[in-house]
Amino acid sequence: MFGCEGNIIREMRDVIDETIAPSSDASEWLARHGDALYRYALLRLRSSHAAEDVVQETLLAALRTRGRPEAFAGRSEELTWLIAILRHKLVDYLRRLSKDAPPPEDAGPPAWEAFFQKQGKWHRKPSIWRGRGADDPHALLERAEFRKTLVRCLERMPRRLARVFMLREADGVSSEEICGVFEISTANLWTLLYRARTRLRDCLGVNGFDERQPGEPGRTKGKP
Amino acid sequence: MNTVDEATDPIRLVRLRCKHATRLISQSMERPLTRGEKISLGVHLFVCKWCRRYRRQLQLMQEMIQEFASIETTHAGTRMPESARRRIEEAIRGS
Repeated sequence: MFGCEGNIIREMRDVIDETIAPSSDASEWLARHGDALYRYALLRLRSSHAAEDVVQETLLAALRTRGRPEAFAGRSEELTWLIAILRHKLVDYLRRLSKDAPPPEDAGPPAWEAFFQKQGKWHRKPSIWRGRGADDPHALLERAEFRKTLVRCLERMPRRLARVFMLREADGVSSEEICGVFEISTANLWTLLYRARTRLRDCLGVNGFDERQPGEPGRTKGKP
Repeated sequence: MNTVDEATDPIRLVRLRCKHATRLISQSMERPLTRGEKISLGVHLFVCKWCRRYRRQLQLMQEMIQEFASIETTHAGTRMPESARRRIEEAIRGS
């Protein structure tokens, strides 16, 4: 009887020893890095609920992580460490999603009419991107107006397409891993990326660089 | 349904259309193109300034997205909703 109680008390003390101090750490992480983690997840998951869940999982997992660095050299190192955990949680989340409800084949035709004619020629031909820093990604991103356009264009992409695209293009996750996460073939992945890039290029061209629809008055010379 | 991949069908490659050229351009970011693909794409790009622009703009976009993804995390203004923050705080305390 006594032995039993002793056990329980000892177990409780163990639990308390393990959790109380670190849990305040997690609160601090949440206060310091919550927004950054949320933004990271939101940009890749395109769903605020999913992003919130993944941030929560990340902080709880960070608490349980053994071999956590005793001290961080600075806040940015702490954030880097948390983001490394977040990346795993995010990919796990997407993997679970594919398992639970295998998505149907990408709905609808790719609407190539918007980009190419039947014979495979350009419909709306890419024009030269002009303007301040138009050939310099860094300079472009310094323009708040352009950043807004980019965000809008990314938001316009269907969610699943955007998720695939961001993992590949922004984070350079390997094709093999992405195919595994979304349960798609390599050929399928290439098609998705092709569509995402073509759509995004078109959206940026039209909204960020004033590319014209056919028939619209533009800067084109030599047309009546 | 046509089972031959249009982008690698040799007959198509002889006279590559923009639609297929752009597909190859995108795939070249994922895998090394075959010798045949490289040649036909090269020929096409030589004569098609629109596909040359497409290629340049895709490369620019890739760099841009990478940089954007990193600055978006640390600098941008989107904040976690207060309700979510409270919920996570509770989950942490209850853990």
